[in-house]
Amino acid sequence: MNQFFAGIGGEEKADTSPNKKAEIIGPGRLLQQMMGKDGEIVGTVICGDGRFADRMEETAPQVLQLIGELKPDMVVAGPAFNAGRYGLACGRVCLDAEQQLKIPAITGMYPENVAVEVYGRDILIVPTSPSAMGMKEAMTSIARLALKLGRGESLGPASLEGYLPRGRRMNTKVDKPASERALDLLLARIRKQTFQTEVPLPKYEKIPPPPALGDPKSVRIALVSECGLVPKGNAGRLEWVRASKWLKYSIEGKEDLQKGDYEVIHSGYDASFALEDPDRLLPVDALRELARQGEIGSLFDTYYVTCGNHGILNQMAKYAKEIAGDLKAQDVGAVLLVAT
Amino acid sequence: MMSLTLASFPVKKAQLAGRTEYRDGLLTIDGDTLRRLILQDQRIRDVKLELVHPGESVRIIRAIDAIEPLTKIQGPSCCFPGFNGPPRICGSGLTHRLEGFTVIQVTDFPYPASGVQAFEEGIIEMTGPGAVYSACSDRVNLLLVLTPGAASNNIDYDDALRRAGLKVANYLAQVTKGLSPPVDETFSIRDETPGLPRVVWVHVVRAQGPMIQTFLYGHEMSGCVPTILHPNEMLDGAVVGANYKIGSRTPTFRHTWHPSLATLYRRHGKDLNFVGVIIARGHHESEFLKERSAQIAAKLAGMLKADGALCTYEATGNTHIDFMLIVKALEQWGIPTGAVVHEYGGAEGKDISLLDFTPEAVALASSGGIDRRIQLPAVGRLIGGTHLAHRGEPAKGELNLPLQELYAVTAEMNLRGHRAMEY
Amino acid sequence: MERAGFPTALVTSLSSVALKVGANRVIQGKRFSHPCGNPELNMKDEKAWRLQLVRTALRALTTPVEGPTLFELPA
Repeated sequence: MNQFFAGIGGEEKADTSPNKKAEIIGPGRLLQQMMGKDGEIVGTVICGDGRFADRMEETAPQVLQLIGELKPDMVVAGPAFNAGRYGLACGRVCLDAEQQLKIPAITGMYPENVAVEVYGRDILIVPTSPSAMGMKEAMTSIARLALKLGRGESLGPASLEGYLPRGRRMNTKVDKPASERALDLLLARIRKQTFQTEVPLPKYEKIPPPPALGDPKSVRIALVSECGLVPKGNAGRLEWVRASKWLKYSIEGKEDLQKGDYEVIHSGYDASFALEDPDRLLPVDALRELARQGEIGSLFDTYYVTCGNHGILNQMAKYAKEIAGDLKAQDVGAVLLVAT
Repeated sequence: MMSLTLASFPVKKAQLAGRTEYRDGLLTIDGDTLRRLILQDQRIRDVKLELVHPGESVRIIRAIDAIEPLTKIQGPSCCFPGFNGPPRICGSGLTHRLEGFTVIQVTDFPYPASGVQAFEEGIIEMTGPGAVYSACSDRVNLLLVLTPGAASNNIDYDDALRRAGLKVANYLAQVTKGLSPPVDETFSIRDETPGLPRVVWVHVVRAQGPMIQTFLYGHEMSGCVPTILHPNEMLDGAVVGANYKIGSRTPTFRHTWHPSLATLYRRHGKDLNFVGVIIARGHHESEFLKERSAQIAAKLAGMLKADGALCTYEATGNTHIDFMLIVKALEQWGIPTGAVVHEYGGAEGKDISLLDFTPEAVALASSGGIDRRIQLPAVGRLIGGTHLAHRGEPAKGELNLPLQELYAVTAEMNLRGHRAMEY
Repeated sequence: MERAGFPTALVTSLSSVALKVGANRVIQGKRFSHPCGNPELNMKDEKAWRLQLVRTALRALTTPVEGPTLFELPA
């Protein structure tokens, strides 16, 4: 709880040091009332929200220590409504309680509070009105969920339980087959009624295009691919589905890739064409020709490969980041990326 | 046009004994006759018959296709035309089916295969936490545990096992000839109710090549452009599944009774007019072919004067792309869509859930995330081998798997009402 | 790759997907089982075709773009 809701003061008391009281204070009374006999507030930890937000790394552990001393089964922080610093403090407190004290935590804030973007994927946040006018509604939801969490019950989906979605899509069961529900959506559309899709479409991050090469004649170009082409024998043990790694292999001295020297570790496409001539995946022959003609500086003598079949996007992004790091250290200026 | 009476004989229990007979939900199977029937084809050297019932602590690996027995009692053509008879149009007359019963081939393929032609496991889990995701866990299953014989390659063997399964399916369903069915229902879309919207079902299947195939009237669909089927043709087995790639596949018994077809027929005359099925293959090898197929599918829906299209599909990655192009083409043709998609998103559902999408895909129902993981307990009995085919892990004990390694999981999750939601 | 600052030419047959997810320099490849190959041609012509492909990739790398852009081989 911050200084304001604790009744200490306003902005001028935002630097209040962390302290604890073995009492129910301020909005805690409402929360206790909502929980009735099923839950007991064992104490309140207070901290100025300015103090917390401005000196988070030293203050957060102090607050956590005080919470620990009260030996709670769970923690309720805020609600912070639309107050940014308070929201960040509540978010951090909940995160620490979960990760370090290993107890469930919950807070409430207005969905546009900046703290939601920072902590929203990691902690439970009940949506509230922007101002404390919505305290009663906020505490009603918080009380209900706090009791559930305190009893060790698992929570259902966000929209049904009344908390902000944390970006985890988990499976649950409903009473109608998906085909039936898809048909309901279709009929709603035909009748020009409102409908709600069950699967929001992904939004991909916009990456600004790197500037064009000024002088290609001096550029070293590297080949990177998810095609799963590896030297025969697959000594690197690349997997042909859900690859757990990326690999790099030398093409030094090779004017082209020869049939028989390589195999394809990827079960998503017919490998026969590539096995006939691996340049059909990694165009080593053509890039060597460009270098000979002086159109590019050189083809980098190492190629990078993974298998993209059923690849988990986060992992692929991680491999790309690591490969990019490797390329930077080798003075590579541009990348030819081949996708199957 | 076509009217089909489907007489259903539910099977609650089956046993191997004496004479093949059906009485009050009990199917008795003459194993010797069945063995002789199967071993007529020299490409199969041996067969062992196993019966598995719901609730048994059994795990089945190397499961190939799963077929609900159907046979034509009256009317033109046969069931599974192109295989069990000439490729004449089916879907009318009287068909008998053994409801709740499946014939499943269980076998290794005789020749080594890798990459795109490698068999991938879809595990049938009869009990425990995996059973609600695995197809066939709520059915009585006859396993044809086959030993390959004189097949010249895997495609040849695949043909043999398919014909054996369909032959057995017909033989078993024939036992109900002359019997009075507990349930019968007549299926027809001839009567149209004015004022109700005309809805088409767009059924996208995988047909890429050997081991990843769907058959239409006995021939591969890999070279097919989208075509129109009367829903009764599906009920009678015009479409046979032969897609052996992990999890998201449609065994034959799902083609002959698909959740989309069931819901459309149930609501025909109530809040819609079911006007037909457009079947299309996915996983086309180039943008050009994908676009061409999507355009043709949309045009067919337009020619059927569809007011809307219910769209479903099987398979993964690449076929998502074809599917979304079909949705886009339909929408651009002026035909709104409602589609079922299965989701990805990694083990915790934090990653992007759709591999591909189109902005026009505004009405999607989720059949759940298939890469969430499940912990399966050790089982009392393992049939089909000792280790998982595509990962070499011992299969009898505890397993931790993504859902997509369970048999025909996407259609099963669709049917049972699984969906992904935000947590 | 682009986030790390490398001008990147993505060769793929699935160009519509690549453009949709935001790859900035997309080169139209052949079929997904041989994006840099054209097996319908004889060997000599195929090599010439592949040279054209990498030249198109080079053109993409040396062309300033504002956002996802498709580069195709000359007909």
